[in-house]
Amino acid sequence: MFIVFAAVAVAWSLLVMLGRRRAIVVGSFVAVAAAAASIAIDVRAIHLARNAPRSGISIRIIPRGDWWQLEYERDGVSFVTANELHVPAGTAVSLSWSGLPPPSIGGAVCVPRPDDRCTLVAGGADEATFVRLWPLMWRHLPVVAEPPPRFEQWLRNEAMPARSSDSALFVSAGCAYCHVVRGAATSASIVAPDLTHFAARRTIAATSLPNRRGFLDGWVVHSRALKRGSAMPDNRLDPAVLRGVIAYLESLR
Amino acid sequence: MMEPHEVHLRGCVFVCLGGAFATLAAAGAIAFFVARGETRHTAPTGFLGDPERGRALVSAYGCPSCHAFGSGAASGMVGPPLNNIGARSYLAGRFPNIPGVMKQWIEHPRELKPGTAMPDLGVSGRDADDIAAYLGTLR
Repeated sequence: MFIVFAAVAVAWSLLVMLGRRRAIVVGSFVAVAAAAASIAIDVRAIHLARNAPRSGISIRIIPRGDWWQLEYERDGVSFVTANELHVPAGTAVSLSWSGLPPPSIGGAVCVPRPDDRCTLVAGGADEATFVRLWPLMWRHLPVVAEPPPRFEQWLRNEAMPARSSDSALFVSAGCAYCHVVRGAATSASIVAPDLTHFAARRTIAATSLPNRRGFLDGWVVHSRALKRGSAMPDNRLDPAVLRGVIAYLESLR
Repeated sequence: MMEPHEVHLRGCVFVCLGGAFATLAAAGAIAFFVARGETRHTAPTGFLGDPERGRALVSAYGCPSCHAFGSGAASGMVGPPLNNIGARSYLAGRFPNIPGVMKQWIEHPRELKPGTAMPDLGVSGRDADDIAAYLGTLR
């Protein structure tokens, strides 16, 4: 909304400089209408944020190069996941972020709070957009807004460590140098997405490809052909090892 | 000196013949492009599937993640390029490149050649027929 408002303000000041009287009158009307619409949307969002049921969930969004780290917390239980922002639809979620402008999520405005957080009530959103004019930033994070029971199911599953125990190939192939699988492979660094429940995600390659075997094979072996500037190195694995690693990833539900 | 009607006739010979040639050339060009367009839509000899559907399936299964097709955004560097696979004699360095074998290779590469890096993608029989027909058109 702010961007629309700024654009209208710039256009209006241009008209004033050019000195077109009728245009100034029309421009003023447009500016007032835009301001009214923006205020109405904000009031509605504030109203929603005040009255929606609390979910007690806090999510921290951290951009890491070309992928997203997401830290969930509720009642002292916390876990890390990546690349897919799951939220319970219609309930209030507390969002915070680092190194980003405030997000707009499927028309739901994130109502700011004094402690550098905001309260979000998402409806049927499928994308969070982070837009800033200067320095320029325009990024998308896929959102899965689910009915609360489905979300609770997802949350319980994500909070658990990986179910599959057969991580030997994953570790020996070198994947664990960069990727964490809770309960199986822990890495010291945070250079790559957490893969604990990888198979439950809809996309791979930081959200650019569908999570299906044909894409996964190509991505694991030679990621740069699929995404320019990908930080993941080439993995020229023995075919038997490759099949084992792919089978392990597919078991991480 | 030529008679006026003779000049007229000679003019007509040039204009009419030129026109006829131009028409023929245009018709030929149209026929050529139509025929070329049609060969794309019909399966090459021996293939049972629908190459147009096969082309869409190739993207859906993610084949370009590993194989280069000579067009499109992704150009995989994991397996061999397939831009002229229809004209090659052997598959996987071992099997004759004929429609039935191509279909089998797409469906169950790891049964045909144990130890290959190419994954079984769970391709159904009909999908494999269509993909094989599309690959057969790549010459």
